[in-house]
Amino acid sequence: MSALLIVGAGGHGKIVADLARELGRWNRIAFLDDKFPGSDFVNEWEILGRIADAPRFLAEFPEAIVAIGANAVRLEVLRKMLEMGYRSPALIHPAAVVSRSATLGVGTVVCVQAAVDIDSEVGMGVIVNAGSTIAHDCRIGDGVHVSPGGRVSGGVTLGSCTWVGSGAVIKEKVTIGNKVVVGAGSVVIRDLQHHVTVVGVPGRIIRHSPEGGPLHSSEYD
Amino acid sequence: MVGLLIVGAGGHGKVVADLVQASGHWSHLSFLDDTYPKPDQVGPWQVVGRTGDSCFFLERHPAAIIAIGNNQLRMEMQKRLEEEGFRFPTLVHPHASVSSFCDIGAGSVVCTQAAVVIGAQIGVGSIINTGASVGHDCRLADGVHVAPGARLAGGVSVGEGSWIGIGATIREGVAIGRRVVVGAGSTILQDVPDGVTIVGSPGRIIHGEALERTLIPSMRTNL
Repeated sequence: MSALLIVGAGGHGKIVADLARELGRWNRIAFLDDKFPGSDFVNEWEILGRIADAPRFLAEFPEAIVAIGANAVRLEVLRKMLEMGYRSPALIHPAAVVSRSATLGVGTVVCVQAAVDIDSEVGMGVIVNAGSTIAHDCRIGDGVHVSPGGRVSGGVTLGSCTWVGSGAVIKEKVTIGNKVVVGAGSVVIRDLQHHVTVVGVPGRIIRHSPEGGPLHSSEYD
Repeated sequence: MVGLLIVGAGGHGKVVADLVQASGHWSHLSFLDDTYPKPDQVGPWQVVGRTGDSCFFLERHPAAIIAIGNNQLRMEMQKRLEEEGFRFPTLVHPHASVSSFCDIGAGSVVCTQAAVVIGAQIGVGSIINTGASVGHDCRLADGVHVAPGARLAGGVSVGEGSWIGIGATIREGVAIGRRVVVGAGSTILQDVPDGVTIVGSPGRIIHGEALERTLIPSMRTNL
């Protein structure tokens, strides 16, 4: 048995802790979050320090998951943690299904009732959220978040740090750039360039943002 | 344990092979595909011939499944192989949830994380794809494809050869005609006549005239 450090004690952090508890591979689970020291506990799990304190906990917690919702921040913090020497396993909920012929990068989390089909390649620090599905032959970039119930069809490519909103649908073989935001319930039927925000059925572009949409580091919890 | 022949080695064929592997009920599996002999291998599985060669493989593979996305082609192919003597199992992924009070026809496939609820009836050669749900008392005819994550509420009927796009939602009690295409992510709130393409939220018909505009009421009983 080992210990798992979860970085980010917001809603998604709790979900990761719950998942880790279900997996039963760790005898100790604790958090880092920048709301420390004002807040010391999330449910039964202790918050030990701020995110910048991560190097101090490496000896005690060899494994870590970054559970920050903002995609670019999650990916950046994950890379730093790996440089510090943390190992970041891919976590698959016992009631999620990942094909044996699919690959998951480090620090990727597949939540309850989600599915990843055959020959899909999922990058590092990705969130495949509750009940979402990634069909066969997809290429999912680093730091992507497919929100609860998001539907990614066969042969889709999602660029780095792209965010697929809750219940959104991506049609088969569509290629989507980096840091794209697909609004909740939207349907994307055509390729999308980098850094756009798209909403509606069918999706239309409402914003071009060189900085990659509205997700800033201040919003991560 | 016997061998299973999968006809069609595209994306859906691989998904079916993966499902078969996960279920562990088959001694071996092989593919037929018209691209043979160019790829003679799909992942760990062999492509052994073209679709027209099926009869040569009956002895080693008494069971078959058609994994062709096109609904009409899939149904025709299944009929032909049935005539040749192939048996068509119903394949259900171990992580799909299928009520013991529903009927699913021969050659139909229920993929991972899909749900088929009490009282639902699904015809032959249908696909209930990854994470899709078919509500209580739904009636699906032959050769229907419910794409990944599509939601059929209770009491929905779907005619032969219709395709329900990825993430589409069908309101309870709605009757969808034959050979209908429901676009990805569409929301269907009213009955849909035969042969049309319907997209959007709520759905509107963008393509094709109704073949028989008055067919819907009788279709409900004919399924």
